[in-house]
Amino acid sequence: MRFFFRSKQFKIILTVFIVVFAVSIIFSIIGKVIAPQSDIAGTITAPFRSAFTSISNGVSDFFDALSGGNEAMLENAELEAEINELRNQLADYEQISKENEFYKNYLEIKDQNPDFKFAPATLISRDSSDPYKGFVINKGSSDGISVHDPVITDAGLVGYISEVGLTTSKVTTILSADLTLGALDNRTSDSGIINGSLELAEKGYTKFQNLSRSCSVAVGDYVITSGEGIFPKGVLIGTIETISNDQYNTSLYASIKPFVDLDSLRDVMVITEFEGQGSILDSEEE
Amino acid sequence: MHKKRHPLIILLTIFIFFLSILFYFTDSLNFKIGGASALLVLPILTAFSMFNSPLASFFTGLACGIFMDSCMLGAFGFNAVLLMLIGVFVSLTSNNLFNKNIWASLVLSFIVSLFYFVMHWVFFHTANVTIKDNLIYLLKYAFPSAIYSAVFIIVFYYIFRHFNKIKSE
Repeated sequence: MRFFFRSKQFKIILTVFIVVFAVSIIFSIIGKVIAPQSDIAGTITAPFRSAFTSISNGVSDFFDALSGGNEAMLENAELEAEINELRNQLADYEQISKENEFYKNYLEIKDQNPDFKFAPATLISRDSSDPYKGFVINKGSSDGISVHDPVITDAGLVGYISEVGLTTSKVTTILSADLTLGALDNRTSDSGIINGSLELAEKGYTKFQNLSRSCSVAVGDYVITSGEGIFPKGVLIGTIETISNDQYNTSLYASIKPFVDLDSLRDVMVITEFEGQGSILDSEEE
Repeated sequence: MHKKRHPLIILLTIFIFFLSILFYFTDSLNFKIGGASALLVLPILTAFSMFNSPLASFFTGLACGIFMDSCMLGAFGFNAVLLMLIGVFVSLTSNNLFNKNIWASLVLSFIVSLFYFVMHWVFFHTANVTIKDNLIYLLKYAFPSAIYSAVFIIVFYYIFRHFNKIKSE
């Protein structure tokens, strides 16, 4: 082995290693920008990843349809029994209708916010090593996307752009412990902070914390963005599933089930511009 | 004596690496067991490095690592650095310390997988999550993924041994 350390091979390996290591260190310090070697690789492989994702989605849909067919057969057998139950549920129709109207208003967020500028994007790869379900989209700085741009779907908030390359960007989701955003209970206007944890991310939930002990949040309430930070005001986040005391018994926290199903996500919208964007970041820099 | 290069083997090797990375980053085709997901590029790189020079293993690890960095959140060259080290380590140890057999490949694959997932935990999770979340990650994701990834060496060891035989003929 000692001959190896004196060989030309070793010198080449050492030189390349030092260069790659130095570039990695520099870009990890700068942050928020995909390192050039990864950006080039990402740009070259993006069409392949896109094609592979389409194939994998097709395969996934095929198996879903198959299992769906079996489920339909079982469902047919149960339908008659359910008819009676549905008749009872009709009584609740009025209430459900009101709820739907309420929800619909928020889904029409684009119409209500003419200042929003969107860039549609498609998911091209998922980070399997990320328990918070982060992913990569097929749009980058050449499409006007920048770091901290919010990412949404028609169902609600997905996350934000954490790294930008030329033609691809990486998205950190609302389940992540790296994300901190101001949020409000839509019914009571009680404010708190959304910050993920691994324990809740496993179940597909995130945490609505720092809630005052005297607040009146309730299970089933909708949670929306407060507009403090990098996200615009009024974007739907999710519903409150449980409410608990924090570990020091000084405040409450709620587990939130996001409206967006991060597992089946394929297309997203990046908000590249909105009124008040960057004002918090600018004031932080000052 | 120089070994004859076989273009089909080189193409097949590139294809195997490329496909394994695509599988890992497309989770609808990714075969997960609980929190554990197999990072196939680790056993493939181990098997490849056992039958190739440190320089070839180094550059293969580097290429795979760069590709992985482009898919992984906040990686900033983490995979490139780690995989090229792994390539050189396996190539050197299998040529100088171990016999080239299935048991040696299993041991190396396990060491490599454990090293990768522990380093991943150290760099991406220790600092920004609570102690409880760190434990959850180690026990539910990192260790099971390392074991799950390592066992795939059995398949890839025989594939690359076969490639090596064809190359040598």
